[in-house]
Amino acid sequence: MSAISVLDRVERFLIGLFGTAALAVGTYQVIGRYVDQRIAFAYGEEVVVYFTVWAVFLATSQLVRTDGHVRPDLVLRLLPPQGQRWFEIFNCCVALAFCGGLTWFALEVATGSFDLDERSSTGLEFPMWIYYASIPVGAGLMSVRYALRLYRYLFEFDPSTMIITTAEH
Amino acid sequence: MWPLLFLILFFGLLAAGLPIFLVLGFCAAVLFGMSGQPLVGIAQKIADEMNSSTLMALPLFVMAAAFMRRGGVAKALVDVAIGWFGRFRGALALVTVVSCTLFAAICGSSVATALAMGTILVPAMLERGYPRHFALGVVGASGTIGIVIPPSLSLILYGLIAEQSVPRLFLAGILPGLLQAVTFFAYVLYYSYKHKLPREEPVPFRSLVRITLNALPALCVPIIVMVGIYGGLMTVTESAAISALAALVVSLVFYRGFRWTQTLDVVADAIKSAATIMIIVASALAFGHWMTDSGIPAKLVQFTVDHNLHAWEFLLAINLLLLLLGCFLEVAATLLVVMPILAPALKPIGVDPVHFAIVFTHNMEIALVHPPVGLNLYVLATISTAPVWEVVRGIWPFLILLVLVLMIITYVPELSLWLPHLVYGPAR
Amino acid sequence: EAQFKLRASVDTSLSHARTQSVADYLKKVQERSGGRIETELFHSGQLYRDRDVVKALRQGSVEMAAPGNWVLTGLVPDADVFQLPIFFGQLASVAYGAADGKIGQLVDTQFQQKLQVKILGRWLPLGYQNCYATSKPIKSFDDWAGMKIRNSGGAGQSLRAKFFGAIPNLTAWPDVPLALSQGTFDGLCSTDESLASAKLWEAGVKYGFEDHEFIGFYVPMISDRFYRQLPADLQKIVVDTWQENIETYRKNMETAQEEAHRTLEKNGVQFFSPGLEALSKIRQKMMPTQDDVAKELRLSAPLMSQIKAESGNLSQ
Ligand code: NA
Ligand code: NA
Repeated sequence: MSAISVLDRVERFLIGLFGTAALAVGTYQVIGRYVDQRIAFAYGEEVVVYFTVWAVFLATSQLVRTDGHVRPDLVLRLLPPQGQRWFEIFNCCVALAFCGGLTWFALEVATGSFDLDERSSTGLEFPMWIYYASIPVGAGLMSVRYALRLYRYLFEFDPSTMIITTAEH
Repeated sequence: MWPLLFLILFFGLLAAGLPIFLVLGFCAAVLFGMSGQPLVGIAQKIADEMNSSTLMALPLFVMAAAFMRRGGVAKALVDVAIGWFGRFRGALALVTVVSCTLFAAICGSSVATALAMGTILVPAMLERGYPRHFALGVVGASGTIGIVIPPSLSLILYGLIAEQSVPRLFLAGILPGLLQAVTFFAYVLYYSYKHKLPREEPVPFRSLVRITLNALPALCVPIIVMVGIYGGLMTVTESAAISALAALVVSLVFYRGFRWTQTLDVVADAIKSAATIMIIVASALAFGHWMTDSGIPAKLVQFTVDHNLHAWEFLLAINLLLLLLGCFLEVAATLLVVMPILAPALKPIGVDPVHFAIVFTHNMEIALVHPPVGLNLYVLATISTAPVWEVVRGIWPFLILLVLVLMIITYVPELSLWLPHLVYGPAR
Repeated sequence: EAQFKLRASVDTSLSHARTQSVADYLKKVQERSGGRIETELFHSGQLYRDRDVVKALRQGSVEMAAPGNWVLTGLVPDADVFQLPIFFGQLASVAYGAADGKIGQLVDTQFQQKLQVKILGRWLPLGYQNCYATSKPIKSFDDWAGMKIRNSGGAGQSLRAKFFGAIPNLTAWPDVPLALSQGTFDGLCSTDESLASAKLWEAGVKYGFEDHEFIGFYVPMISDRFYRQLPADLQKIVVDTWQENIETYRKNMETAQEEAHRTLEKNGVQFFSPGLEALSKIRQKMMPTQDDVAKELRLSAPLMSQIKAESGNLSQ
């Protein structure tokens, strides 16, 4: 298995795991609140946020892989294959610039939070750097995906699979 | 000069087919940089905006929809609806309008409503040979009801900013929401007969009984959630969690559309759908942050306020302003950019803040279905892998209806105010 | 001509007494600097929620804020000092004394170091945190037992609820009106002004119990990098303007709470006051838990020894 398909599997597994964990904690909180007060866990909603945001940022990387980020493709559809290719190359460059920058600055946010020992202001006192780390990780993975995508459009362009067609489904 | 540069950049990048979150994020980064704001602020803003428990209802509701679709719950529900109402032309489209309205009474977000209902009903409509653009249009437009019928995340945010009582705002949303639903229902009925949408074969009584019995566990899912939320038990996020759990259990126990070992896989798909929206919401908030900081919205609002407009002129001007902002921002971002500066201006002009809440919210509904940044358009394009313009084609008749309803809501304040006055008396 | 731009972010609405205080301060700073400092106020959380604003200050995205001490505890645990039993049911003057004295200084020093800010001066009190209920009146502390009471999340509040045998519930403020009207909890801890601004009587609040659990303070701060780039005369204006007006601002905050109190009463909220003596008795009962509470809140040793040193004065 190539490194990238290992990455795919790990990502998907973690997205599913964190999402399910969020669901489990959310449910547990409801039960704790309304069914049996003895097992109540006051900070459930907070933990749901941390799990979900981690899952969401990992998913942003998967979305680059599957071209799932929503975008208006009106103009692209009107272009011939080579035109689309150059537009996609341009898009990859803009995406790399943004995601690269986001990775860098979000890393600053996360490490800053770690250095300050920032905790959530609830009684849970959750170390916030763990939450913040989801963004540089997600943005970093997106950068990798966009770099791969750029490479494919530059050097392995295949009009039969890599363009948007106007055909109705 | 900045506005011009911004417009070129924004529309240029959109036209190039860059994902929307990147368009918003990149524009925000350029504008932050040019106005001397530290860029780390964007990363911090995105992180802080995502850290919100109200935002979590979205992925949980999407999970519920994914369990229902993959698990066979949705099919059972669609079958029973067809069984009973299939003799009407366009029955499923009518069912869609009604389901979206009912789902709106559980869910506080329009995008989540469109996403959840679209996941379930678009494939069902396509299977039965409805025109794709129409199927997408119905769900996209009906989904917008999510934020006007209570509970509503945008009305909650409005209440916080404008210091209005949330229960009162919720009551105000009910009749306008129903008016919208009835309007859509009538249009769908008209469309179905005009375009001769398919009519189902009559179902023999015995099969009808079988189908109905088969759907009973599936019907438990919405009922559990309704009882939870209106029986006075759960907050919106909690009811989202319970819907997902109920859908999961019913899927695994009764319909077995997927095995329990596949749960992580279904969840991963749901999170992916939700992520497309959440990342846009967060980057729109970062972008809205720059707008606020630039002072442009404040100037626009001040301009409107300074012109000593009559209440009706003011409302018209604000409607136009909101339609404009709706081109770039989504609901939460627009609320944060505009409402803090608008709220103190309402009373002096003679506009009831509760009435205005509904006018505002209805504008946000319209913003959800008009390009370029109309989240419901993209949600449906993603669900159906259809091009965005096809969704637009399906939605524009509804867009016209939405504007008509907006005019009624704007100029008939009683529609919004009658119910809250009845329950709480006139606002003090 | 403007040489410096001072943007302030608060997350309360324009009419809130804190927003008004900051607005007045900004106006005066701009005037006294002869326009060399141009000020701009962003309210209602347009730019930042208070929870997030200190990081923006550190990063240089905004120049001034006045977040409540309860949102600063994640960075400076000692900001939670007023959750200690010794402050329960005290008169405002006691809390002001502590905040303006050595205890406040100890906390301020940490704010300045950790958040890289300049504290402008004395803190702005939000007012007494009390308890409010929907279904049944709270007339004494025994009535708390078994009730589900919402708090805003700090460990101190939840420990206090448990002390009275109540079930602590954490619900974010935006969810409170809906949760209240649905009966998700039976009561909540908050202030008169917060309740009045959200018109919570329409969500079902009928009773108030003035137990004066603690006083929350807004901490006025400007970013270090902004402060340091000012010439000495402007630095002086920035600090002096706050110092000269803080007494007025404190009065205004108190007046706002009194007005909110009347608004609540006008809308049918019934208040019960346990009285100073009963509060003092409860405080004595709570005192043995003080060290445990301090540990839970992660309060520092120097702060705790300062508290012990002053405990004679505080517990009068
Ligand atoms: Na709703
Ligand atoms: Na729009």
